[in-house]
Amino acid sequence: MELQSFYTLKERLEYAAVAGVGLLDEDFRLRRAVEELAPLAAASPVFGKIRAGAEALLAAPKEERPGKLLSLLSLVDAVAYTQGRAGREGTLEPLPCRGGGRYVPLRYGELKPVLNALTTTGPGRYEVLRESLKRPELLADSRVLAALVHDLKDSFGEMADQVEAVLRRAGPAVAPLLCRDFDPAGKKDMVRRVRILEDVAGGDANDFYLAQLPHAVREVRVALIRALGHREENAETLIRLCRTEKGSAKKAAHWTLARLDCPPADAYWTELSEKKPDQAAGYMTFTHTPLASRLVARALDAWLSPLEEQPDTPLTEAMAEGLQALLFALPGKTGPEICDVYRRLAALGKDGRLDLRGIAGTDPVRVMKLVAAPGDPPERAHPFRKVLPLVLRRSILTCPAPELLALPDELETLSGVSFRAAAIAAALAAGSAEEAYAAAEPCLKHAGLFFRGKLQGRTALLAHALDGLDWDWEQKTLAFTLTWPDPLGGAPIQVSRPLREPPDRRWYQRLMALDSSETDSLLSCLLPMDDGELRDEVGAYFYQKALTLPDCRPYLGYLKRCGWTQCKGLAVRYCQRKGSVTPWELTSLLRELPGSGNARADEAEQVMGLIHWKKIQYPNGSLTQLNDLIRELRAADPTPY
Amino acid sequence: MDISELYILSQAPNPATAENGRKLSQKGSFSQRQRSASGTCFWARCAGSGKDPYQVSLNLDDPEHPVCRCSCPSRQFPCKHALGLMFELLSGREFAVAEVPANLAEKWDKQAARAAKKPEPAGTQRQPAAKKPNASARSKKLKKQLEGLDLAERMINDLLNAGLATLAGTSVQTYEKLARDLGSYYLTGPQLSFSRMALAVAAIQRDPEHAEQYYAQAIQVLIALHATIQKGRALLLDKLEHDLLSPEDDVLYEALGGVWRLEELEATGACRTNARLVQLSFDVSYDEARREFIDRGFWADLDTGEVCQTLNYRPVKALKYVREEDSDFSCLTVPLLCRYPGELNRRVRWESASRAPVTREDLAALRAAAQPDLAAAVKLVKNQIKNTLSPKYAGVLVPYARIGRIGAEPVLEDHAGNRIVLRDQPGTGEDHRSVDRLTLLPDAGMLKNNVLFGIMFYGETDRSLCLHPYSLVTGEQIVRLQY
Repeated sequence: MELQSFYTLKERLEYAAVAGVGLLDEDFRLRRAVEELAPLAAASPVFGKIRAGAEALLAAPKEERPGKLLSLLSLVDAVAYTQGRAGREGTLEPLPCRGGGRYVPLRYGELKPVLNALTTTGPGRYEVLRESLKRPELLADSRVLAALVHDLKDSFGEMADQVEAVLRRAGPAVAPLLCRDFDPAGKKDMVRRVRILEDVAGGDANDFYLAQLPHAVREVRVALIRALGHREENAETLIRLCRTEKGSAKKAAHWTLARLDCPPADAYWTELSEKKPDQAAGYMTFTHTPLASRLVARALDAWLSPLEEQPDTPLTEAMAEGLQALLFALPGKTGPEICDVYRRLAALGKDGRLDLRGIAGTDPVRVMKLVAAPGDPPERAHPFRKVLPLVLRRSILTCPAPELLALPDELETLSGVSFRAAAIAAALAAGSAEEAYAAAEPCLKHAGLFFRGKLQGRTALLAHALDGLDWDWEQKTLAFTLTWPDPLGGAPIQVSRPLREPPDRRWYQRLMALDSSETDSLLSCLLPMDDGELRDEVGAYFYQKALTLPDCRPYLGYLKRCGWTQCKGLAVRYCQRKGSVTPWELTSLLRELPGSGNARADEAEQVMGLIHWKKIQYPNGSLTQLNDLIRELRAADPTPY
Repeated sequence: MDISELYILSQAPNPATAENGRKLSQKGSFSQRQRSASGTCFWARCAGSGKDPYQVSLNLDDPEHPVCRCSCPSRQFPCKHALGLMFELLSGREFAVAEVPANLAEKWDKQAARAAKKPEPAGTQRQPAAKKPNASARSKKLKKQLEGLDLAERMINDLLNAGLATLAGTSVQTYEKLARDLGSYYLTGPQLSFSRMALAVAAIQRDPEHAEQYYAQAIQVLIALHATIQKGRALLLDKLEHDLLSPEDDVLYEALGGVWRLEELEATGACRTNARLVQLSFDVSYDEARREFIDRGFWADLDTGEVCQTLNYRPVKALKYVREEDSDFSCLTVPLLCRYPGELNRRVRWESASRAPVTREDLAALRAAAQPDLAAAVKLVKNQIKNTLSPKYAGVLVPYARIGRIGAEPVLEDHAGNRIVLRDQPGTGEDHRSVDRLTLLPDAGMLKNNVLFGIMFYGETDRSLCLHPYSLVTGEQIVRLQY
């Protein structure tokens, strides 16, 4: 049955309610709608009743019209509901179920706060998310996972970072959710999606990256190009992008192509290095293939040749920038060509001659300053003679090839500049414990009371040699960690190089004998976590030191590394020496102390006594809160008290 | 008894209080933990912001109704200290065995004596306590209500004479005042309608571009209000004439603002004994006109197949003191299930229930309780929504052969080939969006040959009936798309 006239009448009646029943007499559209209902009214009694009601409404005195209108509307609504259709024509296709995770029967009280935190704004959300991290089953639920993906666009950066980390841990199950509703023209949240997808699915999502690329713009495009580096089959696409893209997308294509070790990529780099050797070598920073070594060596040859042929050639800013980029590319490159380049660089810098020249056109004359690794802050910039040993050290730790290991001594002789930092690092990474100690021994000697400057120089050298050395909990050994910032804005790139043998015990004896805050910091980094006896010995040294120093706080971390469990006197002496402590200062000190909760609580009680007897000042502090803290510390300790 | 976390959470007035109790326990605020030799009574001291610690006690003689006491001034019940004591039990802290302190024993004895005096709980052979009605007061109230209905009618007439378009120029306070005035006439139902009108006025003024949508809402309110006035007047006059003083088994009682007491519901005879219920879905919404949060649970009666609902109203002003309901994943056996008047999805209440895990047999019973097919469900819902005073939606269990899509729209198809569009019910808010969640299901097999629980409603835009999916009932579990 054609019901259009009925719906028209319904609409007109609703308009009448909006316009006011006072205007019904002039509403010719309503009258026409009533007339047009005649065929339906003749066909069905209910429509007849509606028509009669409408006519009665139009004929009614003004005071009765509101009631009649509402009664009629009530009837009309009821008919509309009963006439409502249910159904849909067409071919029913399967609903794409691209859910990640699983269904977890979570209560409203559990699920709602997390969903709220992830889908709304306002304070307190980060804490909710942090709490929910303790419950893996909560984060496995598909509803929560979907909300997590949604929250990647959170304007609170720390929250979005945390969400990104959670999704990375969720594994491949989250991949379908990341691909769902992906907007290649989107913003940072889409970049995050691609980054997570790279992590959890890698090359398995290659078709997705390729499908999205044509529509992608700005940083999403960069992220997608970068993701193409998981498959060698993308080399041709990347070469095309290297030639057609501009700006950051072009750089991304180059950096990504540099990760691929395949004939088409090699051909492209060879071709590029013919025209622009510096550029080709620069992109080889993270590539450790023979081709990369050749390209870097060739670029450095091009840089060195003019200076070697005409020693008076003035140094320019562009040359300094070019050299910096090439030094960044050197780590990881090996072979005779690279060793030869090192020798030529050392010779060029002999006795600091290159540094004395300064950069042309600067007034006053400025010395060329360089850093050893990309991302190093300006305060770590050094003149060429000091930075070359650090570059060699980095190069050896990245790839300890025999020909590189022999270089420090040779270059020191050749240039007259100390390559001790590189030699110590090389001996630690590839030599025996005895060899490593022998390399470092000159720096571990006591300089005597009147040679403070000499000691500082030796300590600085040791600090350069041991830079990045720490206990690797995964490999359960001491290891150097070298870090590079990702040129495409992703997570930093890290290389770990474990020590060949644990350090000789004499290292620790000598470092403790040197007895300075700088060497103590090195001592802490050099501690093997699997040697309980040594940790106890060093711990006792640190503890005594902490008791005597005006500020023991830097040593609290060292003590914890030693597994030290005694804190008696640390907080008391700190407060006594200072005479006045703020609540924040005291709370953080008590929380940071080594040892059990009870031991820290005992220490806190002693401090509370001093405050109570006005031996020390406690401005704006409340003893009740301090008491709460003591109780908290004791409660956290399972041992009886 | 073994205390579980779920047990503690079920006792808490709200999750925040439970969390605060947990923190107190973690912080080590409790001292002098002691218990009775029977192991059912516990007491301890809890450090608070005051000078002296609070005395907290817990009696678990009847685990269904734990008796919590605390000397703190909190109006929440149980307070965070009592919940903290439960967490102490849960975390296995040591409680020394001791004699129950005299003051506590005395209080518990008094309480036990009171309980013994109290009539037996619902579900047993109790007769509702006959409260002697005050005839003159009742008659006075009926007359006042009739006056109120006249006033409400005059307001509607004035509004419709001028037209709803004048709402845009009316101050919100006018309608709020009208709503307040009706409060003096014992007509909370119509009062609520005028509060909704005030909200519509505010919405029109705030967002004139979508005024039509708010006019439509206002018209619906007026239609329902008009029907309430007409039917209500007839009912009240009849009661006044025939001197009927008891509440009637009719939705009109609530529409006028009546509030049912359990014994009144029992008196209507619409109760069931030993009902077995399984929750199908749970959600929480905020009703701005009522200024209340509403915890709604949809339940299926395994024996009759009826889908009923629980409604827990939490006024904003008393949020801290009214316990928030939560999802329930167990099978409840309710000794006495009180059912409110109504058609589909009648509201239900109970005083006590025992819980057991949902079994495969329960799920099979649940699936068997679904409507025979989509056509039957549609007919059922149409029959309800055509009544002016009934809600314009209803929750139904619908069997389906498959759920797929036509174009971008998800569609359910039953075994007879009948179809219905799956759509989120407008106006229910972001939190209730669940159609999208169908595509998040971990297993596409769930979309075939199962039973769907959802809210069927009339879609104004395309004049069709749609289904808002809430849960899927498979042979193994109830997969909730909401909570």
